[in-house]
Amino acid sequence: MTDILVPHGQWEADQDAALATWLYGDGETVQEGVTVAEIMVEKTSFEIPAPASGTLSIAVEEDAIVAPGQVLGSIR
Amino acid sequence: MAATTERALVRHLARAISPETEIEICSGQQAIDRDDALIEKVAAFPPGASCIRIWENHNCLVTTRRIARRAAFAEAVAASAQSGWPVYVRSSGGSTVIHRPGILNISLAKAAGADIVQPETSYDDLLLMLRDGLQKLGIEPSIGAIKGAYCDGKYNLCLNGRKIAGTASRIVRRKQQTVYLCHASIAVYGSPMRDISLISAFEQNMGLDHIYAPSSHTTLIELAGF
Repeated sequence: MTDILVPHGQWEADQDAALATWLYGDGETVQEGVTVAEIMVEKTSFEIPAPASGTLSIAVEEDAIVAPGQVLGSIR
Repeated sequence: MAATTERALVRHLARAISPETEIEICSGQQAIDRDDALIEKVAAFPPGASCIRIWENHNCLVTTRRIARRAAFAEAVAASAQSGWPVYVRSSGGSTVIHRPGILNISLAKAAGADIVQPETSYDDLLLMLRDGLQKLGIEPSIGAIKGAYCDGKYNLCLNGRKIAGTASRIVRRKQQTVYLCHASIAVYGSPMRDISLISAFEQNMGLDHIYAPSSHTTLIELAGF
């Protein structure tokens, strides 16, 4: 199992980041490197790539505030 | 049909922003997707390289991937399309906006090498370019959020406390380098009240109850006295 993590250092610590959308659903098969989710900071979007190929398991719901290092989900 | 003066101002503004860039007249999802293609194009360039696109779209609403995943999205899109305003989806941030003749879009993509680009930085070059362009027309915009504006954000361009341009950006990693695209929509002419009405109808059909104030928006024609 490989965790999908919120990256560090992409935005200032005092800025709110939200998990804007999952581009794949829970249980869907994804390939390593494809964008599985987007994080929104102000009106700037960041792509979250799949760290491995496999089945996506979602741990954080859309619109949730997220922090660097947080686990968003995993690839099994 | 827009007056000759209104169309002349669109062309004049575009030239003031980037004299060597022609205005693309676009339509459909393809017009939106060209911004994504611009990012991929710039990703192949060396660090520091950039590309600009100045474009004007046919009548449509443009929303975000997040909103496109809402349960009632398909029904809301159908209703909007039936009234003459198809809905397309973009990959940058924010919320639903309007594209139409009279709203000039500017997209600037830049390759930033191995550097990490903070959200604020992704707006710097485009905001500077827009401010310079507007200053050539004798307009001195400010930058900031406007309460009651649709797709509000801290990097709006404003005149006299009213929004004339919204911005959004997207930061990606490609081919070992950071690439970012910043996009702005400048309201040159047209009716902000009608724009808000169309956006509100679309959002209400999805169960969103955002309230926008027409007085929070303006156009260059309306406020700058052209």
